[in-house]
Amino acid sequence: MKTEDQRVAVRPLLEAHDLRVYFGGGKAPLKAVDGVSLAIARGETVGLVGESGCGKTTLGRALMRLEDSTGGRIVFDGVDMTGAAGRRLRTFRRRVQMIFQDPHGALNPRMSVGAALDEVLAVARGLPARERRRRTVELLEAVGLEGAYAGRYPHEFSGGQRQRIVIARALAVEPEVLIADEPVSALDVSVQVQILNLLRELRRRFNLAMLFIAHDLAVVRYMCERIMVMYYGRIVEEGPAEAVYSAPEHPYTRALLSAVPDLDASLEGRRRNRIILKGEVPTLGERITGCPFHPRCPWRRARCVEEEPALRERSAGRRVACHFAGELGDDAEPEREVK
Amino acid sequence: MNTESVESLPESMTLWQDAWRRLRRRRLAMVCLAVVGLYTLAAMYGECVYWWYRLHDETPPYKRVNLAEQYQPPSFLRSPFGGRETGRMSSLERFLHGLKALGHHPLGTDGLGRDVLQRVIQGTRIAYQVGIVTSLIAIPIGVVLGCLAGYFGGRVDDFIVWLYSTFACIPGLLFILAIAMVVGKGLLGVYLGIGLTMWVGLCRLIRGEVIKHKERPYVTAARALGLGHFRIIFRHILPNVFHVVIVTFTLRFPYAIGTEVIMSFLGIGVQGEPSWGIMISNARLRLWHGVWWEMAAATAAIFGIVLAFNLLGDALRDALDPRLRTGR
Repeated sequence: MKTEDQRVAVRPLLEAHDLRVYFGGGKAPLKAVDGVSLAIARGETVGLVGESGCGKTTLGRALMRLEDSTGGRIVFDGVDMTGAAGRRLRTFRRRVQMIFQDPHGALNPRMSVGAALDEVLAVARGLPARERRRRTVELLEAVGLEGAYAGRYPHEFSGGQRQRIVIARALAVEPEVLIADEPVSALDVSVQVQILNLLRELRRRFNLAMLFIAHDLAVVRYMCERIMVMYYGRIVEEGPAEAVYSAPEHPYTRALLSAVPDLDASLEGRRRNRIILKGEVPTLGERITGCPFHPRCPWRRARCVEEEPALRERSAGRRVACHFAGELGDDAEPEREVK
Repeated sequence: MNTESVESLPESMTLWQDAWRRLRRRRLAMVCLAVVGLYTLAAMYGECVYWWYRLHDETPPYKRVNLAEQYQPPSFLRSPFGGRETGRMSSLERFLHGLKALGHHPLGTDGLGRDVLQRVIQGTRIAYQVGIVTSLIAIPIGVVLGCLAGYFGGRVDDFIVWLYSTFACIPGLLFILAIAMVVGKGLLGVYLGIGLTMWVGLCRLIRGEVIKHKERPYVTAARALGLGHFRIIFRHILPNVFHVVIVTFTLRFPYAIGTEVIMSFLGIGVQGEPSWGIMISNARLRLWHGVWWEMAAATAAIFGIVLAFNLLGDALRDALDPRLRTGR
């Protein structure tokens, strides 16, 4: 492990090794997650970026063992959790919590907010009734809601408030890892910032490790120290957020970043530098030989079609899955080598 | 951190309260609810009468044979305010006498001089007993099996689906007859026969609903929180599919009553008590004598309760399931 950041140097809290989640057996399974390895340390926030349908959510669910993995291992705090079941699995899940994209669906419509928190405190923490009432109010206040909300039902809240409730419920079990699956993409922009700030504050207060899944690059940059870019069920680029943003090495990352509006650049320059991807994200069921990105890659060469690139360590904590990482033109016009 | 104020929200209302508000807006549903309430009161009154006479060890009026008063038509057809004996009375006396005559066997008497109204009320009592007891048998079976099948899937699901398919493919009445043969004629046979066939439909509906809800995010969230399977099934999913139970109950209640009537009519149902089925069975023989009121009273009672429950069930379904709401 490189020691550019002291926190990363310690043993990671949640690790995945060569994790695979395939749906549907047979000859052509749908490879939602295909050999992903990652490590999240205590207090660290890792961003997971990618287009919709690239397997981000499945990866998040698989890390919590909500999805059965086809292969690979999940290690939590040094203990293998891949085959955990029953009580052990439930305990593991309580130490890793998840925040969902759709805060409306994630709350039981027949349960008042207080009852939902109370249940978690009773079952997961085994607190006595009086203590639970006190904690319920505390939790609601911790996420910026009033304790008086406890008697209300989910449908009486706005989207942002619901997401706060979901966060409060996740915190009720006092988790160590938080998997935030697009926690703000269903919310208004003004509310997004509030929720992001709340997550940042809570992360600091509870020293949470966080996997932050999003498709919005600006949001990820705001939240994360390290980011991973996912494409077609694989990690294609990984590194410290600033490094990846300032000098993306994988063509896909470049394309993603070039799509982010940049208010500083002139319109001319932006238009020139923009990399327009042709075609669609391949559906996960499709068979692609070689690099999964080659059908859409402007830098494609013969080798890309034949050989799948491995995720290579390029520099400290920086890994890229491209044969020609570092050899691509620095910016502007890619050299097109189209048949 | 900004705290949003409580005042910004409307009055708190649970989904059940909301459903009740929606139901209350439909006049037909409220009329049906009132009719069901009347039947319930009649059944409770019948229960009181039954126990009063039973505890006093007397023959209740609906069983008392009085051959002097047999085949009396309903009181309003006996010209209560006229008649020979009222000839020398003042008009007030005549009126009071008429009222008294009106209250005497208001729906007439049957071939043994027993009061038809009392018998119809006792029939209501039996009908309610059958409806409630069969529901108490069928609902737990249907709900528990449906939840287990829907939630766990796989082998459990296969077994439960096989079980209810087996039950469903036996012709209902034959199955009920078979059970009645085993446990003997009488109410117990009626309860078991109907209860053990009625759970199938409910089980199927619950299973489907649970399968639907199992994939909802709130269930995933509950799993992520490390809650146990049974807590998730019965505390999280069941309250969300419980409207199915309520609607099924209101729609199955008249079905159970109808089946009891058929069984009693066939002579394998209620014994020695005036159920509607027995009344119809008895009245059938006297109908060609022009004694129509016994038949009319029993059938009208059945018609009323079946119609009220069915309309109420439909309205409940609309009120409890907003997605099915048909405007208004």
